[in-house]
Amino acid sequence: MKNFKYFEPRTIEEACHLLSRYKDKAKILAGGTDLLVQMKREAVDLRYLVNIKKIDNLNCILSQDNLLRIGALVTHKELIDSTVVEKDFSILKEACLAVGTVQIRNLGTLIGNICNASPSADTVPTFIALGAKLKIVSTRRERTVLVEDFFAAPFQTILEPDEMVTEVEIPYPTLNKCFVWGGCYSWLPKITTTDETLIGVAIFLEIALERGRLEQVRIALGSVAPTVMRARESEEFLVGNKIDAKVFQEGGQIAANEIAPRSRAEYRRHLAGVLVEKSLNLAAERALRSGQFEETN
Amino acid sequence: MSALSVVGKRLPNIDSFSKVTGEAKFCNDLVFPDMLFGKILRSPYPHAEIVSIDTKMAVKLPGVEAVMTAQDTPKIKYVHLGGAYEDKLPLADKKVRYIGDEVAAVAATDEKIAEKAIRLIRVKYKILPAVFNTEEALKPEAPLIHGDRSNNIAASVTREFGDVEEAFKQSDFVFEDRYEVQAQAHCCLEPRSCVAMFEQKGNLKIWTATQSPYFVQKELAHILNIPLTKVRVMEIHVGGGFGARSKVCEDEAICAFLAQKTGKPVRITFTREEEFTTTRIRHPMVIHLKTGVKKDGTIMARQAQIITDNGAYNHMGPAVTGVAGSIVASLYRVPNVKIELLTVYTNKHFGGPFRGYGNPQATFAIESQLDLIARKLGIDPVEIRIKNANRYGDITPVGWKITESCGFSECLREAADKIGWKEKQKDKPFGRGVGIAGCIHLSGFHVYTDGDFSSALIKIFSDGSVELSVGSADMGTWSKTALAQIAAEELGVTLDQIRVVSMDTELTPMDLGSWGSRVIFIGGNAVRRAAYDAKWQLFEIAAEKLEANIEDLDSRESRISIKGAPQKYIKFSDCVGATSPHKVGNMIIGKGHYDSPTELANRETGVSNISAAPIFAAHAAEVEVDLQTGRVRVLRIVAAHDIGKAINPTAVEGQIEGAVAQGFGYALTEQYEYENGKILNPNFLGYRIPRTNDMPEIMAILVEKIDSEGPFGAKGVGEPALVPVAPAIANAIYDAIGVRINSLPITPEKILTGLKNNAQREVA
Amino acid sequence: MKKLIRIVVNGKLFKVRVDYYRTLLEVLREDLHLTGTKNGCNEGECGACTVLLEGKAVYSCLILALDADGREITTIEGLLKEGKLDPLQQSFVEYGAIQCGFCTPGMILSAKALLEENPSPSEGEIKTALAGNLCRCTGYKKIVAAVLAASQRS
Repeated sequence: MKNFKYFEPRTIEEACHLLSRYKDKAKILAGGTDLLVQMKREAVDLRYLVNIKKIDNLNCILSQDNLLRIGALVTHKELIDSTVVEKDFSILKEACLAVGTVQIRNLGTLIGNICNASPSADTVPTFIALGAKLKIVSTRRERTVLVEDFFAAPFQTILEPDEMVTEVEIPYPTLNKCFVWGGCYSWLPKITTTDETLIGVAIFLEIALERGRLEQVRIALGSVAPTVMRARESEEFLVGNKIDAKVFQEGGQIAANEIAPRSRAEYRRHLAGVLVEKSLNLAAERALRSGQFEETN
Repeated sequence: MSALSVVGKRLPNIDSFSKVTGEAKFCNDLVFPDMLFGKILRSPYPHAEIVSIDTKMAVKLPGVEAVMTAQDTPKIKYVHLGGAYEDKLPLADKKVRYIGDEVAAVAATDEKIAEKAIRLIRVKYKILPAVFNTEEALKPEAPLIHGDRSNNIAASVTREFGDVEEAFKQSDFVFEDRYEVQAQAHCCLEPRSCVAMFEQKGNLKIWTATQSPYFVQKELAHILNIPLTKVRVMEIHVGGGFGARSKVCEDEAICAFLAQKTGKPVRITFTREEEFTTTRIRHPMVIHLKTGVKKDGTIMARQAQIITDNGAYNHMGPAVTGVAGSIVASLYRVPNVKIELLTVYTNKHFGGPFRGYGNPQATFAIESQLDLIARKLGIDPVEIRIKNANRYGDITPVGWKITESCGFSECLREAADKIGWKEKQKDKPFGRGVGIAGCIHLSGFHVYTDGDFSSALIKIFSDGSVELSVGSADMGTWSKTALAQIAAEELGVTLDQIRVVSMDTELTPMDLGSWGSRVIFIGGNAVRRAAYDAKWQLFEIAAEKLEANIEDLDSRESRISIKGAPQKYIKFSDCVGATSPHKVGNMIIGKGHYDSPTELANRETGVSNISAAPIFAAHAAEVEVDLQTGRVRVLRIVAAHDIGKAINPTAVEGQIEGAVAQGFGYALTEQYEYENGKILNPNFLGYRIPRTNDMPEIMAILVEKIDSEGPFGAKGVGEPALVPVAPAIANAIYDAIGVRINSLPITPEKILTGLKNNAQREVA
Repeated sequence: MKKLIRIVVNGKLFKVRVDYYRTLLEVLREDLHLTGTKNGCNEGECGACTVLLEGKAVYSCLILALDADGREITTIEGLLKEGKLDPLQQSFVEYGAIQCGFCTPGMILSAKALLEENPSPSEGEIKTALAGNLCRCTGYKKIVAAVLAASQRS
């Protein structure tokens, strides 16, 4: 590894200041599980390392203003253990459990995983399906961007060199007597059980209870295109349809035709169909179950 | 034989305390004053001439103490000195033949400086056309990888035993199939590492993660051109071997050269990437197998063409291919055999010994095809195997004598029984299946003119405690523990009375090392003889004191007494004490040497009985195939082994379980990816060995049929347990979904393609 | 560039001046001479370098030493208390869960972190917890059995 200068800012402002000064020569250190590997392989031109671990309040998971807010230092493990997440967003926990190994989940942060912009990042499809947004700050401005719009290319984001992501926000779906929602994250590993993801599918769907009609559907697919993608054609087909095994099968087939995998293309296409169909069924089942739960309460 | 008190017991590994506490030292843990760090500059091209090497800038870098190229060495080729297959220099001279070939080496005061220095060496290459598979390499216009040869064939052997043509004519059915197996990496968890230093008068001391200190000593003396006595291999923990460390490799020679040049200790430790790209692998092979059978399943003849992808250098390629050929002739009774063996150079990393040594490749072909034959003939796959199984008294066409301990049929029956073979034939859901495969292997291989020997030394100190010296290394197999158990049993002491010294070529007697499933069989015999020798010396003293005949004496718990009268005894310490006037200052020394009663491998005829105890095994696998995703889940593997006598059942199970895991990886998950000779996945992320949650349930079954030649009846077990795994899984997959996969690894894509083809065939 | 860090390793405070680029693994092995922590791949894939950071299993090869400043670390050397083996170590010995021993320290520490968090794990939970630690010798059967036995013992 090459030598570099090292900073431990205490506030977000200090961190932003460093980034605005050193721009693309600087890298943020949070969990470090991806960055350290890149540093060792000298795959990054790192001159200034900005360790954000000493910044207060970045390790919080908060339920606030109808948003679930996850700070930049929250690790996969912390999210898995969070009772707030468990209650409302078990789908996110599902995605976190798909990430790496215990050791990686203990160190790696969710936002780090997002910022690494791997097309196979397991949490990204779920964030996209849930309509999550990233809070991005710099000395110049503050902005929020949909996770979905955050990626430019494999391992490339739209983040400017002086910007940092401080949190990811997930809107709570509207709850009332007429609608229920459900979601799931399903994935298959490349070869072994604990392996990179060959294909990951996150589903969010909202069902109008009375008619069993799909009101909202978001399908996000990982590892099947240069960046995590929405299966929009499949979504369009599904919205307005009734929940039904045949409909879901067709939804899966449409999604399979939307993807653009680079390697093992035929196999991935086949699996996309299988997995989307399966996941739609599971998400619908969960949605209906949650509806029953609401009613008995 | 009287009841055993140490042998056959599940005693803990004698190194376990130091291994669970982190106290156990491996080469990379060693630090010496003034120690330097060595790094190797490697070829970035698969095939090129070295036009020039400019080391000036590297030499000038502060902290660099030596920069070496082939010009600084005696340029002596190695691996089996004097042998026909020597083709490798520790540092490449004039030409590189694969990506990773050693071009230059540096020693510096710090690892980072050494890395930097390597990058400052300027090498001018003239790039040559390269070949990456045997088919290309065999074309007449292919570039010559070794200029002193007329083609890229490293070795070619054709042998016929019996009359194959005639036997095929007399067969009711003849089957012909093509099988292909991939390269496999050993993946020792400890990357290669060694520390070398020269002491006064040019004596080399080397700590190296090796299985065979004697080979390292012998080859280093040869490469450095110094006498054998000036090379001392030291004792150190070895983090896995599996064959990867049974012969000397380039780094050991380079480390010694750097130490010689600098006069300081030098440590070379590989990165995981170097480990994946430049250490030996299991040879990929293509096997065309033709088998003739009678209607009742009797095998009449086999003909095999085996083409081995040797990689850039021989190392042990031709020998590995030779073993594959011998397996074709020896697994089951095969009266007529023809084998054509071709070992072909390519511009890739090269193969070497790996657990099974050619056997897993051949057995995958044989056992897959035998399964197919059974199905075609409508014979139960277990029954066709038992029908053709090798039996006591048989001599295989290549001269292997099957001994009284042969438990092949028992293994087949046990494996089938325990997996529930019969029940699982009925009411089987599509997608679920069982498969079986057998294996023959040897305990020790008489392939060196030196013989197939081990020696051992027992010292009994004046307090009665015992030191056992063995020249073999324990790379994690528990061989030290098992050898100590043999010594303890023979002597009549408890295991905690024995301390084992191993590996040190100055302190321990000569031993060919830990490879070829030989340590317990050959080494164990030497240890038992040494213990017997020491015991006899004690008995001579005790006989006088107890006024008894030596033959009537017995020893237990470091006491000697007359058989049946344990209350009157003399302690070991008193016996040793009796040998010197002051009770201390002398010790009893027992020596043992064992050279197996076998014949040296005959390279002319290919026929010789090279091992005193063939070993057999049978594995049964149960699998579940996900018809939608094509993924295979192996539910369980029952591994039955005729091991003679288990010296330590826990250790034997450990060998079997670990080998099954490697066989599982070979069958399903492990594969190198290449692009023009460059390895694209030199890490555990891309080269996938099984993890905890991949492993099926493993049931190890020990079929104990005493071998009278083995120590307490024991035979080898280390290698065979890997051999039948892949075909057992492949056969189970056939049973589950009717798809035959003839190439490894078995991937979901191959399964889905097979299912699709079957469906189309049904429609047609 | 160097920085003075304070780390508590196995209950003992160490002050070390470390180069910025050095990993916790390197500092543990080379400066503190705690060589029980092994370097098997240096890329966070094999688990041989696993240590406990504030009680959690982590790959020490993926942590910069300066990032560990002010934190508490347990290495395999810290498990032996007054010459007595930890129940897990004892279990590894008794169940023969060791072959070459190179993965053993990391394996035991991963198991230790699991049992601290979940004192009576199922076999499946043990397998998941140890999936970040590779072993090429044992096939894992005896390792999983040893952890299960240790959990039932305590």
